[in-house]
Amino acid sequence: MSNSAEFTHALKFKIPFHTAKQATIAQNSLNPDPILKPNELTVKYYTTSPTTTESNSRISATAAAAETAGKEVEVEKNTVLVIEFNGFDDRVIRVAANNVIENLKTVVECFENF
Amino acid sequence: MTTEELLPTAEYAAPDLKKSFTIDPTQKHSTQGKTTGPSDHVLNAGAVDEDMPSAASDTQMGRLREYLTTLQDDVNTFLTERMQHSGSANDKDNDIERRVLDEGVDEDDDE
Repeated sequence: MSNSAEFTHALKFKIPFHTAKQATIAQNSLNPDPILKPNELTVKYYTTSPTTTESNSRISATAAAAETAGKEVEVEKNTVLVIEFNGFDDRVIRVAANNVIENLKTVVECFENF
Repeated sequence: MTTEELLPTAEYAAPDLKKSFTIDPTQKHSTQGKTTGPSDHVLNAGAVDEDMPSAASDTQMGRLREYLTTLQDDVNTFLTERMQHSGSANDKDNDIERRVLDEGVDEDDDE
């Protein structure tokens, strides 16, 4: 049986949210979906903080707003949902990634409306 | 909460290639994906897409949904092209696969 160490193809999505709570809700909404062929594909979900490059503009904007308001700068951590696919070919990754992003769009639509 | 755009990204890695996918927020985006939903063939035959995504609201979260749709299209198209060039099947099989995956064509359709 294959395991993730043998998987040669990888695809990683990084999806930023406003808050860590939103990123965690998205993670917990997607995570229960079972992997139909675990010998061909693995999927990992976790949250992380924006990297320096990704967060620079956001920090700048937040810092400017905080300065205007006379407050200290505070950038929330773990606001980025990371979804990692590892598979043994492009086909399994494409099918799984398309399905997960489709479900993620439903989660985002819920945030949008509520 | 920030006022900056929420821009999703993707990174692909295979033994022969690495590629990054990013979103240009200055371009036009939509929740209507090119590689998702029924094909033109099906719609032209009179089918009604009852699962059509709603239009995005003019909010950061609405635009995130549009960006995700663009990213999904870009990744789908890229991976389908990779599959076509993998040489794992003949051209006819690959074309059927592309049409089923990207255009939603029924595998049993007769032309």
